[in-house]
Amino acid sequence: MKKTQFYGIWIYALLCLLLVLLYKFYTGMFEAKIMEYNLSLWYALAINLVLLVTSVISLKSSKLPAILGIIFSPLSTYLFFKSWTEMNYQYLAGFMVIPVILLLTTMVKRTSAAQEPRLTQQK
Amino acid sequence: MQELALFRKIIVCLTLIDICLVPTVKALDISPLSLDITVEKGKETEITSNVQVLNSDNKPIHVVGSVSGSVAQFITLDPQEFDIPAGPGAHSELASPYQYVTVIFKVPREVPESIYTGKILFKEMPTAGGVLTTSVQLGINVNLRIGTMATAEFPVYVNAMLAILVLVLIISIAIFYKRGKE
Repeated sequence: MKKTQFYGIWIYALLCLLLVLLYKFYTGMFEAKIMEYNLSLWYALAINLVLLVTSVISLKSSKLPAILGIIFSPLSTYLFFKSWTEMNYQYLAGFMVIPVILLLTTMVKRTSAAQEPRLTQQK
Repeated sequence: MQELALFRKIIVCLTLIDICLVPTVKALDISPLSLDITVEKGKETEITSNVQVLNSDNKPIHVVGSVSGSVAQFITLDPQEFDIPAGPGAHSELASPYQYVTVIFKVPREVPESIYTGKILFKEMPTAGGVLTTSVQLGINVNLRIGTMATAEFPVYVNAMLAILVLVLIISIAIFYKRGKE
């Protein structure tokens, strides 16, 4: 697993956390509109572009987290936008599940990748 | 004595004129006379309030509502224009016909903390085909106070997800560095 993929997903998760904290403490800041859509859409889109680019770049090195990243990227944008516009926290919970899944996947991949050389040495 | 008689006649005439004028001037009546609303900043709020507009005149009237002042940007009147049928007259003890007007306060989340004031005005206009000699305009004072920034109250499951996310972030970076060193 490439370091860039891990860092990409980690930064994405951190940005998601930041976005949720902004939602909690400065909920009014997403009200402004650009091209008829409020900032909740544009911020979520910007963050998910980080995930999408990271996933596309690292598609060859580690397939599972990359494919999950490509699938989850538009879904995550939709969930955050829906959550803020409809004030429905179930969508927000869904938005937070995505970085947790991605981080757990990268952790498992990282652990298994580190154990592989040891197993070959033991054989 | 002649002067006193003349004075009495003038007084009687003035009283009669006054009695004739009162019903025309007091055709329109509103209730309440002021509205004080407080909302939290950073929270999209919609509040509705009802205003009663009465016609005490014995002729039907057409009323047009409007909003003035800094509060106007947040207020919508429903209906804005309406007709009220003829009432029993100003001196009658019978109830005057009325119309309820819904005042909708729509405050977006990004509005800064402040006090917005203004008036909701109801103006009597000529009815279709009729001639209006005197136009009456009455106003309701409106004070809209937008308070401190509201924070979103997350339910327990969202707070739990937030905690899990922070925990996984910390664990993942710890594992990554541990494996990197090994």
